[in-house]
Amino acid sequence: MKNKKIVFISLILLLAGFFAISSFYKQSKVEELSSMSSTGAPFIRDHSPVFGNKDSKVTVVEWLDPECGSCRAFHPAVKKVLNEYKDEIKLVIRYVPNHTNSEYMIKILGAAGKQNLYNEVLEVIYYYQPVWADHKNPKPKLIWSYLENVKGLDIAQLKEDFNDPIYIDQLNLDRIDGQTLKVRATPEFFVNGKLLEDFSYKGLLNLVESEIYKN
Amino acid sequence: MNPKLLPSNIVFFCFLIASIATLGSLFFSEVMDFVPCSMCWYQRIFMYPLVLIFLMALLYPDDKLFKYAMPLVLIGLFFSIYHNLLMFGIIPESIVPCVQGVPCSTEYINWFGFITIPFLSLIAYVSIFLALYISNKKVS
Repeated sequence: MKNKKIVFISLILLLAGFFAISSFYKQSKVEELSSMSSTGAPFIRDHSPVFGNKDSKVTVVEWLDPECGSCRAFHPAVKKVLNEYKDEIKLVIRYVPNHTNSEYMIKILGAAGKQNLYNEVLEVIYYYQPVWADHKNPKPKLIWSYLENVKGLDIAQLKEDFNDPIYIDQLNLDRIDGQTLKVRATPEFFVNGKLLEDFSYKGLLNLVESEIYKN
Repeated sequence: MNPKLLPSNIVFFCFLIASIATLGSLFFSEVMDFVPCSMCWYQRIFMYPLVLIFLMALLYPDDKLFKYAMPLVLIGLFFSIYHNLLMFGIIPESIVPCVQGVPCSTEYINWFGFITIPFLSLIAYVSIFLALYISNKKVS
């Protein structure tokens, strides 16, 4: 019966070791993340679109993909939070191009930002997402005809800016930062460097409010 | 004593290797958030049950252990060799059935220039294979 004892002891030791190392590793990751600057890279870059109060101390970073359905579904919640606290927070947009046509849409968004119509164009992209991002038959070029509905948008200018290679460079920087922060799923939010874990309107609101009323 | 019974220290060794491989792969995917590629999944499928097979054989010695364990080890070993050939670039990636997600030639870790995750898997499979094969030959 001595052998069975050794088996059980080693089984317990293996499991205990696994959980001990896991919790140690996770703890060190959390510390590493909180020691990173939440007001600069890798959370924010100079090229990132910013909304709300640009001088605010509370920074909400949203990692999104224009072709991602959950991002589309969660967009109203983000707008609501930003509307409620537009003087207290700033919202920074970063990209995670996980789909085939993500890059195409991100280039359009970049060009739209130049005309100060970022939000309007994002609305159109999200609204028609089920059409242009159809899983069996995606037609990204359809977006150009929908964009004609955006008031004040200079489509000819947009088409010209769309090909500017700078958007690819910026996107590559987003890719690198996304890997550093281990952003894999979209949308993902960081509020002052803290990862949003309760993925809901209420969860986002709670995290934002806890940062606003911290001091 | 049944002469066909594999020595319990050999079974214990195999149990330890399989447990470390199982917990190690879970650590990489669940704790460190590495996304496993499809090749990794096949190697996991054949490694995880070995833990329980060896554990049961330790608690209730069974002279048919070799027959139960070896098919799993052989299939897992096959996937592991294939995956390593791929990592070292001997087989081109395009043949691999990795339709979506992570390409199977992704290198998450690289210690000392040659120890990658598939290489660790290969070490585990080869050592279990050799332990079972040699001890089975000795007792039969």
